[in-house]
This record gives sequence, C-alpha cells and structure tokens, in this order.
Amino acid sequence: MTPTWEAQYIDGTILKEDTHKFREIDQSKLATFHIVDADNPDRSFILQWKEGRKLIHFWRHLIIHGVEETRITLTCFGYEEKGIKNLFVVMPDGGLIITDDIDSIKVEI
Amino acid sequence: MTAAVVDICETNTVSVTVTDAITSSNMGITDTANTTLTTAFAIPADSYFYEKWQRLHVHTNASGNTIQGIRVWCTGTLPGSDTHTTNARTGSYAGAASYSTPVITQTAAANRQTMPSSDPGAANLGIGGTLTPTSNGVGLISTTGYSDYMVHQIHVDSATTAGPSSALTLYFQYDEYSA
Repeated sequence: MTPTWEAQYIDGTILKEDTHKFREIDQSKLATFHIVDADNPDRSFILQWKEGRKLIHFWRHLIIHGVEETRITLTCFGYEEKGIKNLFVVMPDGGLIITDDIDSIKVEI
Repeated sequence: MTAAVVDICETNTVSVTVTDAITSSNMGITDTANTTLTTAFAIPADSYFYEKWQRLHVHTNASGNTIQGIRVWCTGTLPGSDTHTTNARTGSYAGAASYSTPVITQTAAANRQTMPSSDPGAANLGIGGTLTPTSNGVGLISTTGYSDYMVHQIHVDSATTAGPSSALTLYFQYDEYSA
C-alpha cells in the first residue's frame, strides 16, 4: 500500500491525506509532518517542521514495457529549504532513500 | 487522495484506431497495438518495423494531481548497426507530433534522433507541445488528457544477420504532484 501523509499543526489539529488535499496544508501552522505506512507501521516516520521550509510531495511512476508490462512507483515526501531539496523516497519494497536528487535513484528491471 | 490512473495508449491505422492501456510495445510488420511476436513478424535486413505512435493517457484524476516531466528511454542491445529513433528529445523539441498513419518505411516524424539508452535526465516528451510546464498550466495535465505522441521506429541494418535478437525494454516515466 502506498504511504500516506498526516500533517499535525502546532495547535494539535491533524489533517489527513484521505480527507484533505496536500495544498490545504497551512505550512505556517505545521509542527510535524507524518508519513504513514499502514502496512508497515515500523516504517512510518515523522519530519519535524521548521519555519522557512516548503513541503514537497509527489510520486515518480515508471511504466516499463519489456517481455510484459511492469509498473513501479516511488513515493516522495520532503521539503525545500534555502534552495536545497531534502527528499525521503519510499521505494516499492518499503525501503527508504534520503536524497537531494530524485534522479540519482535509478530503477531498472 | 488517490493517484491518477495513467496508461500508455497507441494509435494505429488510417482509421486512427486508439488502443488504451497497451501492455507491450512490440514492433512488427503489422500496424497493430500489443503486437504478438512470432517468426512471421520477422523482417529482412535493411528494412523498417512499423512506426509506433504512443502517448500517455490520464484517464481519471479525481484529486486534480499534476502530471508532468515525461521521460522515455529504451535499454537493451540492438543487433549490429540497427537503429532505434524517436521524436523524443530533451533539447530542440519539435513540439507535438500530429498523427499520421504509421509507415513501414523510414519515419517522417520530425526531428528524429537516437532513442536514449538510459534515463535522459530531463523531460523528453512534451505535453501540449512543450517539455516545460508553465505557470498558466501549459505543459502539464491536471485533469485528464494525453501527452504528445512519442513516435519511434527500429531500422534493421543491411549487415544484420538473420536470427533472433535480445529483447529491448522501453521505459515511460512521469512525475505526479499531489494537488
């Protein structure tokens, strides 16, 4: 299952991905940003928030046509701070890669 | 929030037959999607396979996520001096190719170049004729729609000897930004 996010504000309010859009997060009120893996709770993690950061969330999808079609999705969370990106990339096997350059992650079959 | 549903679709024939959610990009001597490979589809030296006209199709996008940054490349080894060409390119992109009936002769698609053999590192297939999204929504898909066509074709060189070749693997990559 693809990991989901939860945004917790300083006042304790929690916004969850299943009921809110990412753009609805008021980053000026953010205390922590949680990446939740419901299938593997021990692989969930929390980003402590700091003023001046800009949240990032996207998926990188690959559709691969070899002998048969294969699909791979990398789920990317993170932030940009002072022009530098810090990305936390959840791999298809649940592994986590921390990088400033998503293109440094090569996925081939 | 749910991810958009995206497939590769292929257009064939003078009747502009669109096949959605293709599962292979096999090339052959018939102008069909999901070509089944058999020895009947082998082609002689110094000839071309049918062009492929393929594009991403965003079917559903209930969350309004943004699709952009499409990259295509192909890994594997072509025999001898065979070539695999495409209109996909990171620089001097010629804009959206207008569909024309696939040919089994040398493709006329504009600005052909060698198909990248690894991740090109930047978008090389456009949306709405451009590789780079703009602030007014051009160059991305935020509802449903199609990318530009990726036209590609393999030429079997005159010196290529008869026999099976190893399979190639075609990659379509795109980024989906959460709305």
